[in-house]
Amino acid sequence: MTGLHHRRSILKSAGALSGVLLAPALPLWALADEVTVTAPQSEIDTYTQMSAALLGIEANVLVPELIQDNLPLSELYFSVATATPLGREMVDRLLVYYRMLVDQGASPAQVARILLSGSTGRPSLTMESTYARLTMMMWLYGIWYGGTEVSTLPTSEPYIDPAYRSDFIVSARAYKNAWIWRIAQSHPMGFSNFAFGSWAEKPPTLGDYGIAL
Amino acid sequence: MAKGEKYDVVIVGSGFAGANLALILGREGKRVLIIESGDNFPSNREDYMENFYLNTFKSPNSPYSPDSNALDPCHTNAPRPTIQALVEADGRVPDWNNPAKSYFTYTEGSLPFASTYERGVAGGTGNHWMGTCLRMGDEDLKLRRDFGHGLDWPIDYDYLEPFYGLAEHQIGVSADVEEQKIVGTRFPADYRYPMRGIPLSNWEKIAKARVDGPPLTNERYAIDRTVVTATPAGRNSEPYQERRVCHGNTNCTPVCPIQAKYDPTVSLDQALATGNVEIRYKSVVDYIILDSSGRIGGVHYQTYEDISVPATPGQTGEGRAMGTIYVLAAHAVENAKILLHSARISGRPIANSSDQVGRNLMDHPVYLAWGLLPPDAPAYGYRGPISTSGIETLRHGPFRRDRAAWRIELGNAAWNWPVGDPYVTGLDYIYGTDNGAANPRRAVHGNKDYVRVLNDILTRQFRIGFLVEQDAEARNRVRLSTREVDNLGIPRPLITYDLSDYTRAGFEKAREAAREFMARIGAEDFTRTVSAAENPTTFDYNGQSYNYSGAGHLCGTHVMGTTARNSVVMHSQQSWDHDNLYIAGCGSMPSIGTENPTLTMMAVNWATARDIIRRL
Repeated sequence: MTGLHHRRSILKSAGALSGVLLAPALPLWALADEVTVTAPQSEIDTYTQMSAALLGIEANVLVPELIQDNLPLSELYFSVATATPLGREMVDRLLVYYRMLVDQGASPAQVARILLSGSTGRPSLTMESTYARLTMMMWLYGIWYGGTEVSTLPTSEPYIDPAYRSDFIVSARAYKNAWIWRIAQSHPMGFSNFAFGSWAEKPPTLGDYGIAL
Repeated sequence: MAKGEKYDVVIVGSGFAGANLALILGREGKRVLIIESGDNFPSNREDYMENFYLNTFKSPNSPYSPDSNALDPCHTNAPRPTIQALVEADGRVPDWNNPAKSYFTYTEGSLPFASTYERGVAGGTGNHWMGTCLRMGDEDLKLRRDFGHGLDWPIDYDYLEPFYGLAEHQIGVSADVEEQKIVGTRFPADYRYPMRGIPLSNWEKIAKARVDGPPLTNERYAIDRTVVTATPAGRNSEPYQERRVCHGNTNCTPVCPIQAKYDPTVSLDQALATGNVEIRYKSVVDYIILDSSGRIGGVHYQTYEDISVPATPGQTGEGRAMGTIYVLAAHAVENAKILLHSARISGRPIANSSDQVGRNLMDHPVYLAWGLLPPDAPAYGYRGPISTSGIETLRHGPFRRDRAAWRIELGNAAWNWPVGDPYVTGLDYIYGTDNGAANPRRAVHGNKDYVRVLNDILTRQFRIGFLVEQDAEARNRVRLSTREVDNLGIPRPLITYDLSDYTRAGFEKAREAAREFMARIGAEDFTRTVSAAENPTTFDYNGQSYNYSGAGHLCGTHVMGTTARNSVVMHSQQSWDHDNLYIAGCGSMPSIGTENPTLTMMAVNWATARDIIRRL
């Protein structure tokens, strides 16, 4: 039972399956237990702050103090975005631009608006915006949407390394921590920590999920 | 047992039919061999869930090998139909009608068959079933006699009734008898389901409060009321058979992470534990061997190792299994395929003096309707089992003379099935698109605006689905392709498929009922129909277009009946033509009714087991 109407345009991808089924061109994020992060913590923090502005969810909620396996999603997503030299360069420019907006006094909401839609209200086509969207979608879905970005906005193609112009789930952990489900006051399909009968009652509030409107 | 020895029973397939037959026979001390086309189900479920989590295309196929994202049935060992082949296209050529991409091939003018099944893992298609366990009713079994359509069963509900109880206890069905009586089901006086019913979800309770009342259309129904009732399900509301209680993972289809939902591997494990049942995995039975007297002398199978797509090595070996009794339990389409391929090889019909093998292929084409509840009564979906209730009171009645019946399934996964949410609408608000129809202004949002808008939309989403009966038609059939084979050289199915006017008329009334449902619940109706160019599972009727989805219910390819001329098997599922052959599964069903077929198939299967035991 799947959505038939728009699967073709949104989710057509090689997919990423474990073990021998992994498509050869895709990175091995799915199998990674640890991520080697080569950027200074300050840069990761900036990336997290920018993510918080895009999502409207506080940085200390996106990256809580206590993380059981000591791998903040910010580091994981930063590593995915900067996995190639091109990606590294793009994220550097995005963070420089972000810092500039903040220094100019832009609020988080204004930052999000500028990064996502510039002044037009349409999706912005700059390289910074490409990586802002890709970052936002990783937090929301645990998915790198390189393929969808390129098929929806072909002008983004030169900003993304060919090996990353596809859609893939970053990792099972990323899938389980995807924020779209919390925005829906639910849980990822296939992963629930709730109890029997919980569906009969109202769900936790957005506030319970750490999201303040 | 050494190769070359003869088993009491050789069973092809370890799904619902095969695994449960093996269990019942194994408990009776019979020596059973199961030949299974797929691999063993992985022992560590959490590792296995990785397959599902990591698949970007989350369909009923998604956790199971072979990889359903790589469409290459010619180079796949044990391929099967996939949703990807149904919805994708290579440029202008839709994949469903491209033999290089689609396991099924089609005759000219066919509609695409909208359902899929599994062959790559023990337990088969039953791994992805949703768990719905509704009993068929008297009328469902006598569609021809009472309404002039389709085919009749050679048995009636009273015959099946005790077997339903046995099946419900083996599966572990959660339901309340008193509530099920409301929908017209008859039970023995003291019958109790193994577990109490599962609670309705938040939005289903809203639906019940607002939609219960007169029927949803102005037709004559056996029960003159619309009543939302909990759906009996093979899903634990209490710990059962050492399996956990449902936690609402909202993932029944394709796979329950904690096995709170029964699947055939439960019975398979129990069968193997009797010590009387053996199983050979990755072994594909391709044909049956007759002996000189016309009885079954053995089944031939090929073995393979490579589950990847494309698979380089194909056949790694072959074998022949012999038993006193043989049971084909390989799924409706695959059973027919084996029989037809056997006929091609032997030059004579196998189990097919009736010419009904492969014919009467049926599914439940589904009419989906979806919308947003009003802001003062959000649905809060994406929680709980995928469905916990339905409207079953409108299944039966005199209207069945004029149009196909349906049952209405209420869904708890919001717009996931009809639209692909939360992905589609979530991305719509990032890209300023309107693929999900919930972003008509094509806005781009971030920060709190994004959270606010998506929270509002996602928490109000709901969907219902009408499972529409298909009447048995001889023209809807499975044959063998003369050109296309899989990586083992086995011919692939050639499908002829259409929806009768009877079924299309059912869709017309489903649309009418859906609109009434939406009006009563106070919803904003988002149900849309797209063109055949965008969705090939589309048909027209009376000047309107309809999209149909597949419920995953493949039936009818070896129907049971009263004589060898009009059917393939007796009501015991014994072949009319070969007395040591049984053909088991949903393929034996002469009508599909409106109810998800698994429970009925299990019940029929129990009678088959009794018959086999009696004869051995």
